[in-house]
Amino acid sequence: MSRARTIVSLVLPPLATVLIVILAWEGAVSFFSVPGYLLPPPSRVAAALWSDRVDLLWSTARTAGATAAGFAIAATLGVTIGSTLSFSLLLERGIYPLTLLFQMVPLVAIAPLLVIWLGNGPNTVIAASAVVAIFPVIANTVGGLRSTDPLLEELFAISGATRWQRWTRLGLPSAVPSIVTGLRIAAGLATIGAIVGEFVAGFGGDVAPLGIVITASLREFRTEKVFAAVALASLVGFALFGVVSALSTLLLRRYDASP
Amino acid sequence: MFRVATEASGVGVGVSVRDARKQFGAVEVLAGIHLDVEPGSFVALIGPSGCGKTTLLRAIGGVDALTSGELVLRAPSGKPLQSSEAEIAFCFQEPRLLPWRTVQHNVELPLELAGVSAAERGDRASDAISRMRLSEAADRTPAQLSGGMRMRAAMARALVTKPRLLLLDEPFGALDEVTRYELDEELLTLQKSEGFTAILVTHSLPEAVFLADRVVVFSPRPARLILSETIELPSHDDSVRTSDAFNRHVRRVSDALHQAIREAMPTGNGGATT
Repeated sequence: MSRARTIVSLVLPPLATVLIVILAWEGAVSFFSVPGYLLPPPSRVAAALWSDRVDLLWSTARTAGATAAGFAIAATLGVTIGSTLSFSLLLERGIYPLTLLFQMVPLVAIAPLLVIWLGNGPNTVIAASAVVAIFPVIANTVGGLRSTDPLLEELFAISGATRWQRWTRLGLPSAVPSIVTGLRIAAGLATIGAIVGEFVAGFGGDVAPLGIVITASLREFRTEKVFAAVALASLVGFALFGVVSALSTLLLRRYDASP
Repeated sequence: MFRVATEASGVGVGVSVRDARKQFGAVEVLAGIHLDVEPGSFVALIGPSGCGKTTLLRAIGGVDALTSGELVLRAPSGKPLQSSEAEIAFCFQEPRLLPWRTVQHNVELPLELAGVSAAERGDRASDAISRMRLSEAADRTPAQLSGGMRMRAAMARALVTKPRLLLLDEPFGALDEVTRYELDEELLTLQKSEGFTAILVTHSLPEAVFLADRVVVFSPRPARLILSETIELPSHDDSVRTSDAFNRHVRRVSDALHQAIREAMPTGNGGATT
């Protein structure tokens, strides 16, 4: 009962805000007679969503697939690289600061290079998604492993634990809260990476992914379809974030050390 | 290395320390300590804060190396042992439990790290947990335990490997007095029944006198051994804490400790006498 009430009190206010914004938008567009190619009213966006629903559904599926693949690669590789770095002080000192620097490189600048290396198509899109998403995972893995309780480290050392045992039984479980934070950030970035990847390399295949739908509709001045595609791309991001958050909650219930 | 000790008698490892010195940079911590611990005995180390008791304990446990000096661990037969054969267990002031593991799985940890099979370590951990009277809490995590119960879990984890030498670094220092007395008694009962050697660092004189066969008093840093008091008590239940013999021992240890602290003070008649 009280739980249901909490959910209602959490969900209702932002929902009301969205509704008010949509109504105000609709009203303002018709009141000021804004041309549709500049800012279509929400009703026209909805109509575009509905009339192209089959194509858009396939486009969304393609983008979602690439985003999920990019995220999965970033998560696996990020935790592996972060763990490898923290195995050796030399590696950590030599490489970790560079991974932080790498985060500052704008991906849009790398994306054309990925096209040169991987060609047009899903490989480049997945790679772009993984490249943007991986750095917070690496950084948070290293950070989490660094923050392992030194008293527990000593306990493991005294008990003659091997490196592998220390990593699996102490390091990783201790780093879970930090890694989970990194994965949440990565979920959002993976979506951005996939869309940017599609801008430069999404051609080919029977179905155009959302990134291509956006650029193509833009050229045809079908602004309402651009809006529809952007909305769907956001939905992909929300969905991935939701799945990752749900998994995080399960992991944190077990591994969060704070009592 | 892991080996099962077969019988209660003759389990304990003897320790002899000769001219142990330890230096941290320019700071001399141990200034030539001689200490003999008989197999199966219980020795308490007492001294002012920061005098080097813990340093000595860690050196005996093979955690830190001495700067110089000799450290020999012996089987009751007199045969010297490598520290890997001596089956040493530690009990620290903090319980050092893994917060995400239940008591059962925390206690299994040392066996798990030593490669003992899942079935065997489950049985042995359950046994150690029941000896520490913690069976009802076996499936709880540390956050769900009281301070005393956490310490019991840590003791069970130390005992699960059937140690021949148990090193205790102020294990009950953070507990309330009632819990502390209770755990003192249980520790003593276990030590007598299982026959391991125990070396305890503590700040509590009554605890040292209650638990130990011998109380060793250190001077302020750099630590030298200034008193080795053999404890003889009429019994080992809680009532002995108010006996005359008990109080006499506490007084003698206390006097030696205070005199050493006074002598080490830089101000006073004639300055320091080191």
